Amino acid sequence: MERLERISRVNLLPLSISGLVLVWLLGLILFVVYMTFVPGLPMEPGFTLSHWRNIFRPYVLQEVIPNTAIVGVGSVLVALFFGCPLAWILNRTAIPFRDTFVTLMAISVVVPGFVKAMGWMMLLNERIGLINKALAGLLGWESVPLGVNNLYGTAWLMGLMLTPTLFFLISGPIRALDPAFEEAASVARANRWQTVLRISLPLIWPGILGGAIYIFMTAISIFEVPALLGGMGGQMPVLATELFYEIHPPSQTALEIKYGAAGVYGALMAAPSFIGMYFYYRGLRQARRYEVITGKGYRPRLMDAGRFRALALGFVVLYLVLAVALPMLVLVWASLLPYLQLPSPEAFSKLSLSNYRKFLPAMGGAVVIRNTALLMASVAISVIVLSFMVSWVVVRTRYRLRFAMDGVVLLSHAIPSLAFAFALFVVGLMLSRWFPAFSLSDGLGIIVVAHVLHRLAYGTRITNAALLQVHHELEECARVCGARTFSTMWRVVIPLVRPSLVFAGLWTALLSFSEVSMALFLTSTNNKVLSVGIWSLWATGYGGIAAAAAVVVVTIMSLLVFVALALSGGRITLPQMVAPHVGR
Amino acid sequence: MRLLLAKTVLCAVAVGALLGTCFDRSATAASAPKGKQLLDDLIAQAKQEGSLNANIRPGLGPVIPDMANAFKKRFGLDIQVNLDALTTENELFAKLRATLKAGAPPQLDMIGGPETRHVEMIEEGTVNRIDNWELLLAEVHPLIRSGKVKAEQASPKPLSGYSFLWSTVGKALLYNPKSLSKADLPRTRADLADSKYKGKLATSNFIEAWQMGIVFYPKDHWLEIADKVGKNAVAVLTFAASTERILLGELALADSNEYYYWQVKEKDPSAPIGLHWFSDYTQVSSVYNMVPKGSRHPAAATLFALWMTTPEAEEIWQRAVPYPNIVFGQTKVSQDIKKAIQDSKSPVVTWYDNAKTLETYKWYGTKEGQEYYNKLVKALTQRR
Repeated sequence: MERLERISRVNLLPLSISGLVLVWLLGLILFVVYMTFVPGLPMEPGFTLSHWRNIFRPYVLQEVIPNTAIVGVGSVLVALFFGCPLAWILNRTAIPFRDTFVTLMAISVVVPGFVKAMGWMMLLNERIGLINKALAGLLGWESVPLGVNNLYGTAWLMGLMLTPTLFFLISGPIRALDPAFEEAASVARANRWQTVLRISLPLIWPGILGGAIYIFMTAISIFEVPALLGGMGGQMPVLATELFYEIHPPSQTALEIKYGAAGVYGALMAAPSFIGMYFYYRGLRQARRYEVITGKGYRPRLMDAGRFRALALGFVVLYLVLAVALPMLVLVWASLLPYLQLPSPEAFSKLSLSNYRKFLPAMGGAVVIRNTALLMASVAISVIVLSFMVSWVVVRTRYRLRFAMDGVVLLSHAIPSLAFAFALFVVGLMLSRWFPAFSLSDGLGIIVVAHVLHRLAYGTRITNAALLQVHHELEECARVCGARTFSTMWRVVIPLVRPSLVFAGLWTALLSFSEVSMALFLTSTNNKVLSVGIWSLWATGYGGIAAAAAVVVVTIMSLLVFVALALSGGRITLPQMVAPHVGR
Repeated sequence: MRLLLAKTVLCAVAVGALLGTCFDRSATAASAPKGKQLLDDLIAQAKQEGSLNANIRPGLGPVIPDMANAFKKRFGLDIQVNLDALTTENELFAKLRATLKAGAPPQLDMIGGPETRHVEMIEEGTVNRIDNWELLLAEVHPLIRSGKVKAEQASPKPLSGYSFLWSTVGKALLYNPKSLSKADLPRTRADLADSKYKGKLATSNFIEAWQMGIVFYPKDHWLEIADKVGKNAVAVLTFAASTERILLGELALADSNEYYYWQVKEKDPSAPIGLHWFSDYTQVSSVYNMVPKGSRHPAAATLFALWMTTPEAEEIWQRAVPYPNIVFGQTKVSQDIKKAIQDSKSPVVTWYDNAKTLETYKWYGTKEGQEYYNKLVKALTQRR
């Protein structure tokens, strides 16, 4: 009992914060599950299994689920193919313009997914694709049967889109690798490739595995890309488009909205994640093997790419062209035209800047920019703090429920964001009914809460991996010197994992900016944000104005990313390790 | 004697007519002050409320400041007006119904959307009925006051006094003239099932116009046609997305809302897009505004709903998107669109045209109707 009291006292801060997060998350997840058994709105009486029975029909089992698996696995493979080498090249080698490349990777997230999809369709489409026409001309064919309007094209595009997410997930652990391991391998006459494959890679594989799981869960929940490429019909159904359709019935005559179906589809999306999480937790149990930041001093070493320097540079440039340059070109092109059209002399004659004069009033004025800035800052700070606290409990304590806690946090990402948003919306309604003066559903707060809870899965992957690499002896030294938990966190651990926290915050802010589904559902007259404005303009036929808004925003965001990187040390190197100054 | 009698009768008739006119005038005169008094009371109440939260159709963002200022100026108001032009109507109504069922006050004081949503909510008893709405409308709307437009056109049964018309939506076919000549266009909606359109068209999840088809075609036959059309379609897209693909040249045709054509042509008269009306029927739906029960600012909301029926409001929103009102035909844009439909000689039909259409609409609310609707959606979208 005394030991329990002492343990609880030591970890009271992270425990209490994590507990609060757990209660919120669990409550919302259970509410979503509850919705799957209710025939109509959650506050109406009744019990039904029809939503679950509806899943077991041939269309879902033989088309929707297999299609979703193809898109999910394909996206992960593409993201791993690009993300792992990029993370290594940009964090551990001395190629030129590293910061610029990292910034470009970051700002690619800001470009809306549906814009990238439109851009790729203009490039690679059997009827209108520019690449198709060029190839057909070269080969002397009438047309080239290549296109992105299929499952593999969707997986390709989503893999490209999610590569930066994976990149930032594993960048922290890669940067924190102790070169002593690599030096020891070199002494043992291992060549560069052997060192990377047999020493470095095994040390960072928990981060890679966590990232792969996260990418899979994200890929299967994105709806706007498969909806745009495959349409919302039965040509290329995936779980995300089916879910969207259930929540947004377009009929003008009486038809109920099937929120229960949303919960069921969410459960289907979450199911494969459990398998990945099993392997992920097995890795966590052997955490000490991956502790690479120890009490002994070290300075991370940048490797010389040698004769592979040009290849490395070319690989980075190739990715950036495919994922950043091409979509940005399409965005700029669309922003200068009255409507989207292929390049031609006639199109060039219609170029103008008129869309740039219209976008701000079209989206609701300066208040939209203010709301968006507040949203990004609030979400980033909240996710950093809460993720760190949850990871502390998961990685640093021996509580039996710590893995369950991590599982719940990870599970939050498996639940479709739309289902999450609706659950929060209903909770907000109930609160405003019981406390009329308190209106959660009408302000920016509800969108912030939705984003924070949904991004914790990502934040904790980073902080889990970061804390895994910090050897426990550092904290033991601090405690021996009389430091309390908060002091140990603030003065010993956080400085060591600061690069990961900076990236977590930055990335969360960018993801919050570009997220559409939750914000769209939770939007009201008082909490409009840019992502909703851009999407709404594009969806109502004002693509040019939406593109102009996106170009301006991407430009501003890239400047902010540059500033953030500069504030965090520019090239984000770890500080020289010395004995911790505790107790002063 | 006979002449005297005739003169007497004529005089009596003349006096009676004169008296009748005086009586009518006094009746009108009595209602005019009453209408004005009602409007003044409403304005005073709106001033006290101090605020208004309402939605207007997506795409009208650029003219929100103009609309808010014009509305306030019309009634001498100095209140905060928040207009949402970003959220689609289906989502708004879904949230509104959830809000009202939870017993919480609605976020929006005034909400607009298709007539069918209004009918549902009126039947549920969740819409405010505006007392003396005819008098108020006559005070606000110059054409109704002059008698050129009837009040019941602005708020027909079963929406009378609850919801007020501000826009109409006609369902038509958009096509790319470079991909498809006029001679190759489908004559009727049923012609879209022809295999020559395979791989050239897109369908949409918004199938209201297809639901109307059973008024003109047998139900089973219509399902077969819908299935063939669904198989011909290369994708299921929103109307805005299909318009974009038509302009790009990827699609040859798609059924859509007529205003997308005028929206594109306004930006670029030489844009490769054409508008075609089906000869079997053209379904026109209407968009109404209403004040939900529990609205925090009902007086301001009522004023805005009434003002949105006026030519002044219509002129402003049509600067952003040419949403027409072919019922009133009170602006040049609406008159042009109305004339285009009339010139096409396509039979215009709405759910409230006659007993048969109304009965069909109500049938879709039954269990059998919903099953048929599900089959129709699956046929058109090929979702199984």
